[in-house]
Amino acid sequence: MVGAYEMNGEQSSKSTPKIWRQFLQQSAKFWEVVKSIENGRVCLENDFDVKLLMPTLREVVKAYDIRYDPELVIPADKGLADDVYEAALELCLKVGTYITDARRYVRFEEKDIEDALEQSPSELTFGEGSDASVLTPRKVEDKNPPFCMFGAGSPVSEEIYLDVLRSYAKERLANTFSGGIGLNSVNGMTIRSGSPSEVCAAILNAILVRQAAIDVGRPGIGIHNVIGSAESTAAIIAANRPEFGIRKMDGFLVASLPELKTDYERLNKVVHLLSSGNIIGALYGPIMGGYSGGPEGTAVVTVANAIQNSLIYQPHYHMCFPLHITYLCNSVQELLWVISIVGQAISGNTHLLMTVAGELASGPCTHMALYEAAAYAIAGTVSGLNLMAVEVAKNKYLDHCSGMEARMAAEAGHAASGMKREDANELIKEILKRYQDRIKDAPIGKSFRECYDLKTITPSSEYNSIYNSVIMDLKNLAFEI
Amino acid sequence: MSFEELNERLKRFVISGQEDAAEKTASEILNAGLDPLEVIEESLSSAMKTVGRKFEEGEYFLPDLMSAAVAMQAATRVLTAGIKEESKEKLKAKKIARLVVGTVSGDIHDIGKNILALLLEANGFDTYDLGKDVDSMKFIEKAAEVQADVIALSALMTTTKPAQKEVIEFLDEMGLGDKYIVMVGGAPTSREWAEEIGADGWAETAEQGVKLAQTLVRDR
Repeated sequence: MVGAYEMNGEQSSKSTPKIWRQFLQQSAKFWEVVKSIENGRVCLENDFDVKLLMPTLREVVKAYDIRYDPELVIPADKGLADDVYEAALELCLKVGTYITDARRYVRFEEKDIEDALEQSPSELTFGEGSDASVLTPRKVEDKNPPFCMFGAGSPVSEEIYLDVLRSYAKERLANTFSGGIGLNSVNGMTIRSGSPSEVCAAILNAILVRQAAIDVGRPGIGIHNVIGSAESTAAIIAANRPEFGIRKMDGFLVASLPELKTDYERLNKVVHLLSSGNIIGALYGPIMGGYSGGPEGTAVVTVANAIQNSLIYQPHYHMCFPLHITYLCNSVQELLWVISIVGQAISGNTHLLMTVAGELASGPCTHMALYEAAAYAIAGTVSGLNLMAVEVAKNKYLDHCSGMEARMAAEAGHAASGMKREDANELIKEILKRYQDRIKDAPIGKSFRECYDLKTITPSSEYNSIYNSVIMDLKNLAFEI
Repeated sequence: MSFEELNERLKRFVISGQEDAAEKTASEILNAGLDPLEVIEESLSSAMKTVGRKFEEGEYFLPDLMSAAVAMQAATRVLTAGIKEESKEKLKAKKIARLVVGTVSGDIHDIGKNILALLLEANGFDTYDLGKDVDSMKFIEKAAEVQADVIALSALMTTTKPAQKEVIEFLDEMGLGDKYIVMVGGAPTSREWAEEIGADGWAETAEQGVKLAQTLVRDR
């Protein structure tokens, strides 16, 4: 990286407003990153994908002999986890990150990466008062329960949006919740990326997420991601105001582009969040079957994102969601392996505040969704991760998500705390038998209106009955929730 | 080496994505006097179908698909040089259809679309990939320029799928509604969405996208 950011004589003069000097000081590391980008190597995006990323990834996976073993969904192998970490670090040093608008890729020095990892927060408080929760790193087979972020990413109708948010905020095990669920319309208008409707949706999104917290009697609960209805920086800036109920300790996610890419839109968001002082979460979802290749490459790319984004986005916490390119979930066996080995690699080599989002193929009010949620949560928990529970029905179907699927993931995560990886492996293999052959045609289940009482925001008797039957079945597998 | 052996070798090198070996074997095939047009139409086409099947079954991933496509292109280049001019026209005419594909305006996700474009090309479509974040009017301009039969629109975000609708609205308002087959796809889309916006078809995956394009073109 080029030298530390230095203000010139005029800028550093005593007449410079203090607030400006403070902003520069707080964001100094980020401006070093921006300068590095400006000095990055010019490259066609396709060449970055095909000539740099793909062969280098193949090379490091081979060099470190990283292999996915279908018999070991949850590997208990520190050597393998360390190899994944080392391979990811080598990938970062050789490939770096591509910035699409700049048409350049930047490779950081190992020392800069190490410094960024070292200086990353090892503790983070979400929320305030009696509703506050502290996110800390976890270790493999940690006896402490995972920090459970509640939320989803499905589109939800404007009329019941607040109800759906309440269903997450009221859950007992929710340490934080999210406005990541997308409004399907705003004031009756279709939300269109880059249009005024997107900005308007972001404002309503912010207002309603705070309202949901107040409505369920948890006004101080942390919000780990305020807005899911908008992606543009303009929309985020418009909505991130205290008048709408957003506090400094609320978080916003800044996403990477697959694979190992970003753009100015995302970097602009970082500038805004550095100036507003909000919590920044780095979000990335490497795609198995895409440029990452198979499970081995996907694991390496996920860890590489964690390493590199610690520098680029200056995040307080991380959220990964490795995803299957066809099934759009991470509850399949290969992705559970990826979740596990990524967790072990990160928790064994860094103190990053790492969460993994579960991605379910099936929808609410189905046995399958609850089994998928349990399998994901057990995999993440025993591997040293915290949980973001959970994205439902491929994030695709209108109104198909609820707090109930997240409840199962959180309860399974708590129950799996302290479990040995070998035991988790056997347990997950049994759970997989209950749904893996239906992944291709996963049931979308019932909509929120169909499986929740909208007056009391409680699950229907049918959904409770399904939930209890899954709990009983898991109990028969010696897994008590 | 017999003709059959050379053909099998070429297929093997394409399927395993060995560009140099595929190129060399294609030269040997030309020198051996085999009909290059037949090799392109049968051996290479069959090899890419195998690659597509392996991708569908989860045995191959995007990097394998791309390597195979590069090997196929290398072999095709060599073989095409050996085809007589009139046969070249015949080869061109044999393409199933011309197709313009891209990720819609405001959307910067392109991995699924890239896979679709590769599979379409491998399955005999003359494919024009416009990339990502493509302006709605650009699809229409390009379709007119290349005299396309199909416009394929990918969207990966709930907030960008309205751009698929916009392309169809533009076509209708410009009186071009019946000129092109419009197919849509991408994670947040569904059959219901496709019907709602008046698209001719919807596919959930890249593999289904190829089958859909084949069906729509055949049934037109």
